[in-house]
Amino acid sequence: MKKKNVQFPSFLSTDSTHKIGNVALAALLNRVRSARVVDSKILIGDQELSEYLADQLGYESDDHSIKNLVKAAVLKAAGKNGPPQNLPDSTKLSDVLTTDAQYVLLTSYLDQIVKHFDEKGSVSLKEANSCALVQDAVDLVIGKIDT
Amino acid sequence: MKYVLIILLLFHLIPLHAQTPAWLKNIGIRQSFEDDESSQNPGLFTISIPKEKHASYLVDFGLKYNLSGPAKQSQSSLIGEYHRNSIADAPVNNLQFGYKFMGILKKPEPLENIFDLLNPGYLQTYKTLKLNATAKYRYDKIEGSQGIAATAMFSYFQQGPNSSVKTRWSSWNSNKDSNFAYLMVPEFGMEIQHNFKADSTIYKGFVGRAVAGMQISFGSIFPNKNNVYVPLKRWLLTIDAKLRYDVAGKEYSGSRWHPLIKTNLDFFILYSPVKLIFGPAFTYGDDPIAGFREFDFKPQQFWTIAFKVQK
Repeated sequence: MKKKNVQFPSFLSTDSTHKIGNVALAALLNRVRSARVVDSKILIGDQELSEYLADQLGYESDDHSIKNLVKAAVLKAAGKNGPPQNLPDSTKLSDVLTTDAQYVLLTSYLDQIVKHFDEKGSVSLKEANSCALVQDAVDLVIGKIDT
Repeated sequence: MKYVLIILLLFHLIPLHAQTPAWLKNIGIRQSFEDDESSQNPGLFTISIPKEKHASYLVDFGLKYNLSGPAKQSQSSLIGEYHRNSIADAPVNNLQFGYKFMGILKKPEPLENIFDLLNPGYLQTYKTLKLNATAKYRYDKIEGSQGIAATAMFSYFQQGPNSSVKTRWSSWNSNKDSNFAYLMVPEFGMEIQHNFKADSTIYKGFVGRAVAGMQISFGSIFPNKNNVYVPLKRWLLTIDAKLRYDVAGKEYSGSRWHPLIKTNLDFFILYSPVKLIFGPAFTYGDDPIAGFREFDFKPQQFWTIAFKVQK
């Protein structure tokens, strides 16, 4: 069974908060317009819409994984620029974040990452500060999103 | 020298054989806890006990125990400080213990887009005032005084972005090659001191002071081959300048102005579990609450070369 004029959710508009280039976004939207509904499932080609978008947005790739996003949050909170992939999982947060204000900034970032994927989720200052290593912060955020 | 080597060996062994216990994480070691703890301020002690002569002391040491766990937007701690100096012109023998509150006054603004974090050129601006307040019981053996002292010091934190803000306050900055780093911590506030008992009436009574200061640290760092984001410090030169002025109440000394300049050259020996540092220090001025007084109505000064510890 096929239906036309499917209403897509608002996050697929060009106002999407996902950070991808305009050209890539235009191509993605073009492809999404070809979506069809089969047995109550939205399909693009042979893939379900959610799987297709996850692939396109690269959530599972090294560069755009939650892990990398958390590592980037640690670096930005520390006032550092550079590839987050190069920050070892075993880094002590206290070695990178040298002042209390930087912990407050990190908590804000982790909270926003969780809320982006789960509106009801949150990360408290106490939870962020209980993380000793970068890997602990990654586990905290992934755990919050998964639940 | 043998004991120094044994201590160094013990410091090395601790992280190999045991995970840091929770109570140890809550302990801080510094020279004093009145200031913003972003700044470099290691505690130092040297004690010499000759057989025939009097012992000589230089102890500038503070301990902190965090009561409110790891939460860092506001934190309550128990603090104790001991200052003893028999090598300067005017001796010091001063004990303080009490309570400290640290609070960060403003939260960061939410990001417009969390994926900006992945943009290499992006750095969010975060500015806030930070309050470090203490309330202490104070005993000074030289003055024969007992009383209370309270301080409320504000420091300013500012970080990023690089393009529009040239200076970042209370946050370490390093160059692209990771071989030079600097830190600037501005502070201002007030302190009150009330000696309800003293051997001399000179030291008895209430005084309120305005305080302003700036700490600048800079020095050589080198890239850490295990972690490019955590460069290791080789040496640091720290200049901590403070000016106090008796605004209200009586004067304990001949002048209402109390300048204090502490200069430390720190060579890092160990980074974990505590920072173990060796190097010379120069102190000039006076610090009434810590019992570091003027000598002959003039600010006193002295040099030391010592081991120092900070956590």
